[in-house]
Amino acid sequence: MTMAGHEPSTLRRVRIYGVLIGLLGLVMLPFYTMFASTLKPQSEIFSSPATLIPADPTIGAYLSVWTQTDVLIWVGNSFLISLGTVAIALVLAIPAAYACARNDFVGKRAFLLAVLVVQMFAPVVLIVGMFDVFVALNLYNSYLAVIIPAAAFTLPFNVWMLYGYFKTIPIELEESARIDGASMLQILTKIILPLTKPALVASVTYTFLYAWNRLLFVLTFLTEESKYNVPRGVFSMVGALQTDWRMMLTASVIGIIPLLILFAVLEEYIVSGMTAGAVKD
Amino acid sequence: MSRVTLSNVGKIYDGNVRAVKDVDLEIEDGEFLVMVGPSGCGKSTTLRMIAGLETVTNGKIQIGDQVVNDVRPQDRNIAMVFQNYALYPHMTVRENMSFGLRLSGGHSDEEIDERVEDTAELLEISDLLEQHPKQLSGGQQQRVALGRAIVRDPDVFLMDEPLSNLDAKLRTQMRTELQRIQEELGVTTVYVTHDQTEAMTMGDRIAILNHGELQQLEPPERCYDRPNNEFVAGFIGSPSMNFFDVDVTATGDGIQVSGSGFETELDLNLDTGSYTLGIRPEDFEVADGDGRLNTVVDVVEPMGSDNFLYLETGPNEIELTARVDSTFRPQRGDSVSLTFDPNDVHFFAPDGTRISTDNDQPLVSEA
Repeated sequence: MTMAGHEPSTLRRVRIYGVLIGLLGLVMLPFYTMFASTLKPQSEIFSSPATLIPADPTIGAYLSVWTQTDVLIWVGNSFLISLGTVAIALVLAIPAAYACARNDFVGKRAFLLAVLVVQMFAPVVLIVGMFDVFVALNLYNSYLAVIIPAAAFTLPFNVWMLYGYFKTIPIELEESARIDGASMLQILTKIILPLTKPALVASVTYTFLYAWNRLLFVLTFLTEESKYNVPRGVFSMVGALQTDWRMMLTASVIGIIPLLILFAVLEEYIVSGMTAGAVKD
Repeated sequence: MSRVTLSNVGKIYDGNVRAVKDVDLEIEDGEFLVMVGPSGCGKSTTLRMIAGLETVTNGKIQIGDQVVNDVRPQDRNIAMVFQNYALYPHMTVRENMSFGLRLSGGHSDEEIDERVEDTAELLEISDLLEQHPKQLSGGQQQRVALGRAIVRDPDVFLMDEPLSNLDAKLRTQMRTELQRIQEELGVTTVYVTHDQTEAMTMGDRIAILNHGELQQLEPPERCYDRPNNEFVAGFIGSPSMNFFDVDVTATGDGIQVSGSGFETELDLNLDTGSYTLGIRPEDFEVADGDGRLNTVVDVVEPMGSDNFLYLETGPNEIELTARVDSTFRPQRGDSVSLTFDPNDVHFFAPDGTRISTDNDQPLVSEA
């Protein structure tokens, strides 16, 4: 007789894996449908009943997107916007979070809460105001008009994320570095940031993804086609009379590939327990 | 090497929390000074003020002839060993030890390597130079932290409870090793601890602090034999000194001590009045017949070399501790009569200060 919590390990594993595989399937289904559709002829995409596996797989859609659209330029622009956003967001978030983690000053709590409040506004609420500001600053139709608001909207997450992480780093490491002769900048660059790598990777990933997927800002602030990013490029394929769904889905898949590569590379750097051994546990 | 002088040094946090109160300290060139006291007594704050990690609210700190109140930590030519070692986890032992030298500039790579390797040899950690802190044991990390301090050849070593994270055996071993290294290098050292065994065994002098105030600054044996006040008497020595509220009446050739179970005459010269009588557990002896203090055994704690007796005396069952020979092992409830040499008795005034009696013979160290 077995009691709850003492099930045989094999049965328990089967249950756990069953649930996990079910959840994974649920999450992956839209991606699979998108990918499978890119390999189907246009007629098969809307066939009823829908086919799970392409009956006659073809890479024709990829060749068409490659030759007939500016998908490479869109990917390049997405990179540019994402990297710019990451740079601005982290350059602002790191000192802000560090200052809050290491100093007590009047209004610190208010500042941190105020930063968080920004997260509560949907970008669409502010879009008209931002439009006026960028026109006034002569930034309309420049990449900065997308990068600045994207950085601003990711700042709360980054400040709070890094603030929490900086607080876990023993203050003695910094004091020791001070006595060793390090300046504030040297302490930050040579001691703190190397130890903050896991949090930095998380911040970079979040910010990069956020900026990569921005449609609203690009739609509103960038008019030149040569400045379109991936979502805006895909969106431009929606026609007034008809839409080539196969081409759209194919462009979307191509737009995801750089992100998958990025994740594969960054995963190596997501090292936990970097501070293990810094202090006696 | 340098003398460190604290003149009237105080520290007040947040406008009203006084952590250190007007401390005067003069640490001689090459001296090993141990600052000891209970948690929150201000010893670490004082050390951190010397290091420059805390600002000084009032008073003056000098290293050598230079007033360093407004000098940055990196410009004080000090090195500090932290309780948790504070090794940079992403750097190897070699990088940890050379970090300060590289930042200071003025040293060639060869010179830095030579100094790191010489120091590693002194501390017997040469084979660990390419490892990261997380690969090391607590004792090895402690040595690396020490090495990082030594390699910079500072004027002053500051150590903030550096042995408290080690196990008992390693702590004893490192205690002697630290003393050896300090003697070999002859660097002025300020060592903070709450462990009075470390204080008694390591320091040339000990500075005992309580509530931010310096209670006594003298060699360890002097603090043990002639505590300035009741606090020092109770803090130094393990188990702690026993205290009894007594009334003293001057008699023709001595004094009569009454109260707290006492009713005995001592050949001492003291004014009539109420005092606190202090006597260390190790100064009690078991009397053959009637002694000076009749007690009842509560607990016997065998320590191997000797036994600690936890006893009760008098109608109010006042608790006391006696340290006796290991062959004497009474049972709970047994009556034990204790005696002591009047020269080993301490008297404290109601405000806690020690009262000098004519039994204050010169100490062996002073003779």
